[in-house]
Amino acid sequence: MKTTWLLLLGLVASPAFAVETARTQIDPGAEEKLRQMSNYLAGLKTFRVESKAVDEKVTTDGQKLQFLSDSKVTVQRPNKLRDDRLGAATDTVIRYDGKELSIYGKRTGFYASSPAPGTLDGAIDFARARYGFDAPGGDLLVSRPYDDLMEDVRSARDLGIETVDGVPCHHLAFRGTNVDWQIWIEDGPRPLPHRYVISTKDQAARPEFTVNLTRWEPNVPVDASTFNFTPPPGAQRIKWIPVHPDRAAR
Amino acid sequence: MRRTIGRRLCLAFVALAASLITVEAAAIIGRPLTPVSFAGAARRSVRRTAYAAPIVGAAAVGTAAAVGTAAAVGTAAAVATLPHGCYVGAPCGGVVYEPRYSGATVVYVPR
Repeated sequence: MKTTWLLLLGLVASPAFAVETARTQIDPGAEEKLRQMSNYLAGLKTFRVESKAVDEKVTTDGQKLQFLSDSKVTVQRPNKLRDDRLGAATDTVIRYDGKELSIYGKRTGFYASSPAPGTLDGAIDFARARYGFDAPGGDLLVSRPYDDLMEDVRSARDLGIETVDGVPCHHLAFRGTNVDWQIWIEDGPRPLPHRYVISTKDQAARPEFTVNLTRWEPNVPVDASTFNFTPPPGAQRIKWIPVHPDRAAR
Repeated sequence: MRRTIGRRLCLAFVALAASLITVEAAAIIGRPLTPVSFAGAARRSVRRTAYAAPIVGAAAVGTAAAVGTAAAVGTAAAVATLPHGCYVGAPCGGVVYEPRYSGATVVYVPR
């Protein structure tokens, strides 16, 4: 009798259960690997990493374009960051020392600076909202990446081990409402992200942002002068165009 | 309960506003200048997608591609490279260009 009731209950409950699992399928293993990465990154006092990013844009008449940028990023927790944009065309250094955000172009000699929030997370958001640019792989540089990354996630899967730039990594795939994203996290005692891909679903052309992170140097010794900016002789201060207030307001 | 509904309405409004902004946002890149839809590779969350994507677009368009965001610059006449034969601060075809940082990129804006 008891069994019959359980069977009946199972029949009634299963369709509802099926709908629920279709909406939310979080593999706890994938979630745990992401959490380990987040905790590991958060625990690093300093780190340096090289990033190679591909940012896809779509023209209004449907042509997909890729824009490339390479950076060397140095972070010292809780509130210092330096971003050396690499390459001949964009020989630019962005520094944040806990008080001020600055940008200096070695080739042009132009620089700009602005007071900035006192935390790294605040400064990353500030740069994005106020001046319209991102720290490379900024989602992964904040103090608690897990919290921000898992916001709005409905599905998480572990697709097994793949090699990224010679490093065996766990390939994890996540789905959200507007974006799907994938991350490749180093296998072993240093769960570092080596590749991060975001696919935008609410545009027909589904543009993607891809960043590969190589040459990780966890807890690298960093000179104090790394983050402070003193304009070199001959440098010319220019204005930094703020993002239109209507769009920055949030 | 009332607060919850209020919050939901507020969220719905924000989402609506965000979608409008995303649609509206556009950049001008390259030479000849080409309009580009901004929502490119969005950040992971709606919260950031809505406002950051337009902005990120402007900054990410680096290298030789010209950037002039109507949103950021207020005029589409900003250019990433000065017209041939023009110099900073000197009149050039009736226009004097001044350098500005737009995101992490230098652009030239008519004075």
